[in-house]
Amino acid sequence: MNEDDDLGAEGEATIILHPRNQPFPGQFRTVRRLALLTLLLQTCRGEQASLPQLHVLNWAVRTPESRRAFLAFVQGEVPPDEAVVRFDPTLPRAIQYALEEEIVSDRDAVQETLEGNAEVRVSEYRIKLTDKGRAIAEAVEESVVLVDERIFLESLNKKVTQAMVDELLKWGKK
Amino acid sequence: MKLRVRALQIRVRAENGLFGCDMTFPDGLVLLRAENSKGKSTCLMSILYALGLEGMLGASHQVPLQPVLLHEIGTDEGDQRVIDSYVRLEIEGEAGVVTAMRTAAGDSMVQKRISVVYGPDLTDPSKAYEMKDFFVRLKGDADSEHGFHAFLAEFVGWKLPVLSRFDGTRTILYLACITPYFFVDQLSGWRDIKARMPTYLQIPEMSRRTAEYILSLDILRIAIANIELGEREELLKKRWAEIRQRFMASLPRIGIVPRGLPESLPSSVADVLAPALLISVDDKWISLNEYATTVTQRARELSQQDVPTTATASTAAVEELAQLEDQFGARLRKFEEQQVEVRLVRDQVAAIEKRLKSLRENYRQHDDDLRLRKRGGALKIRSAGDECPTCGQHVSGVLVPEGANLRPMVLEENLAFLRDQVATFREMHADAVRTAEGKAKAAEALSSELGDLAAKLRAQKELLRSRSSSPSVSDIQERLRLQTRLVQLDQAKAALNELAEHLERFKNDYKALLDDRKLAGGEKLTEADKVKLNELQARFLEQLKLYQFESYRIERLTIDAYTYRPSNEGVDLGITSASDAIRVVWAYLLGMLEVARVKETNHPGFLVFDEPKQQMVRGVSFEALMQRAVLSADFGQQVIFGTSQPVAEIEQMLAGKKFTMLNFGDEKIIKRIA
Repeated sequence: MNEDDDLGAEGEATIILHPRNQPFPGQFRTVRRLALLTLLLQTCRGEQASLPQLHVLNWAVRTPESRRAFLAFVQGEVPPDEAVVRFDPTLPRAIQYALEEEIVSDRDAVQETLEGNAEVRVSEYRIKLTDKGRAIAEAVEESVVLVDERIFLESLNKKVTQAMVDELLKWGKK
Repeated sequence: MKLRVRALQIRVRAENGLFGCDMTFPDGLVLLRAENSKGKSTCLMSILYALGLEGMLGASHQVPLQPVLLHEIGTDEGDQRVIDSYVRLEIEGEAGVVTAMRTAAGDSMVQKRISVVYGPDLTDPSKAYEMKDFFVRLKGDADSEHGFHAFLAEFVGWKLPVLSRFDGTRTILYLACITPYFFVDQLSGWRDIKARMPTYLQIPEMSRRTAEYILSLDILRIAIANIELGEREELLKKRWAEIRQRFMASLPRIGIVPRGLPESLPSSVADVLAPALLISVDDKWISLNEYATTVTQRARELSQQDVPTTATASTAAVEELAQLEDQFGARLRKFEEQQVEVRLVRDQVAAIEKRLKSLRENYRQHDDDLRLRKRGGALKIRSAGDECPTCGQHVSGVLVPEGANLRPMVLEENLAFLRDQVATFREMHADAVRTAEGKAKAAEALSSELGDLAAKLRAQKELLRSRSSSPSVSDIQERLRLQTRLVQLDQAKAALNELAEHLERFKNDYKALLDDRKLAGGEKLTEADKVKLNELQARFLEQLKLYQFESYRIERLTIDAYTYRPSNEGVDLGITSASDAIRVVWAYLLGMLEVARVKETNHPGFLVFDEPKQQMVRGVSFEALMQRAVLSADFGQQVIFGTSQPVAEIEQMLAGKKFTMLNFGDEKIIKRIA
């Protein structure tokens, strides 16, 4: 193509803008987060967790800095005000995907609501790992993915108690 | 590689007498026949227990044996408390025949001991055999002198590979990892092939590595060679850093900058070179040789003149002092500016490093996503195909609201983008580091120049104060300064010579490493590996046909070239019907045993199948399996089967075939002896 043609006879230039796709942080990638969610649930007792618990773990595992801060907190080296939990708006979305993929289930909680004899309070809502979710967690453990996250979760050694979660969240509110 | 069970002895002492059983096992197919819940599984588990291999069942340190050996035994006089019990197992390996004994009921430390008698103490008892105690299921049981698994591996002829863990530490491939290839327990061994992999041991890619080891594939040897090469490279990197550091420390601190000799190990041997040395003089970089020539020349000029007296020197001295003071002030300002610049560029380096770190983390996360997506089909994750799990519409693969005004890059595009960014920032980093070093060195040169100027100033002032007949202090100072400089330049030269020697030796080692790396090649299947896998696949598919596998079309099934597990058009076979799952385990494990007949593998030539639970075997073609297993006798292999199939049926199925039946009818296997 001759470049002069583009400039046109009247000397007007036409500028064409192509919208470029945006890069996104790896934190946002769905499949990775689904796999990570199965690992988080495996860290919890009975492979199930409340939403606040998941928010805390999800924040803790997020970055090398948060992992360090959380470990320090668990070992009692850092007061909870130095480990400030951030609520991640993509977590509910990840959970929604996981529910649809049948990697996790919240059916126990929901059924109770339908039967309706007692209101199920938000505090009783639990996300639970399914067989399929467990298979994914096992597959992850066999391959070389989410390595740093796994090293971190293992070092927690299932020692994350509800009390710790509450303490962290309480500080977050102040 | 050889492991055969020759004889088993179980003894349980209760309050009212001694109970137990004794049996011997020839080569070929051995059927341990008894009605249900008469103790078949207990006997088979005793084999596992006597060898300390129960670690394959899980991390628990509980004894995996029935209460009959541990707590309470049902006798003709009612239930009785177990006082003590043990299992003795005579085994044959590459290194002959030994008898292992392990206590079952007892305290946990006694259970961690296995006593080995060096001889066939069950079939041919003698007091003459030597005996030695080993420990098991404690740290070091696989690699220390008194570790039973270290003994057992050597006895069988296994040289177990050492792999590297995620955190970089090394670990031996434990025997518990390869046990599932020759021992299938009743509880979950039949669920699918990988159900019994002891993942708690935290060995990366364990199921692949163990399959590679059992089949003795070259790819594992390459992987291990690469681990070793990686370690050698780490050592060389460290040595490079040391050589460089020692050289830099031995340079006199007069602002000498080496050009070349990068901080990190160069990627080619040709770049392992002694650097050119530069020095900053009047804000220009000149080579050290050039500088040395100037200094030598000036020193020689001065040495040919007499030292002038103050009188001859002082005429111009006042003017010179003023000049020197101006010069000193200007250079000092310059020095301060430089200090600021050095700080700035160091901050820049730190900022780039921070950015690089976060880019790498981001890249790793994307890479994880990519790897998981590749396995997404096998794991049945619909999102892995950018498909909405609810409605099947296309989704973007990131956790943002669909249809929002965002156009996220697709994964591969994002990965490419990050790769570019990392490359760019690495360039920037290298550049900033070079700049920082240059600036620091220039500052060092200027600082040494300032020192010289200060000395000159002092000398000049001294000169003006001194009597006119005394020799010129500033001239003497200048001579001394030049002498010192010459000594320093000699030091630099000596340091460079020493460096050259180190580099020469280093170069040879580095070249050897790169050559070895080329020789080792990439981690992929060799032709010989492929032949073995094809052999396994052929035998696997042939058996599935015989066993009437029906979940998928058999011609679509393969042994996957990555996982080495059965796969259906590239997807892990996963969960099929209960009876097909059993067929798959039979065909796969028997296939492994059979490959050992025609190829060199690390299979022990030994296989134990406990009977699958009753409800799972319905309609399974047991006959075809037994007829296949019978062939093991022709190759000196051994297959032990727990079964409750009626005797008449077995005899009919295997009419005219050579096999051994240990039939206990409807009696308990462990019964009163005394």
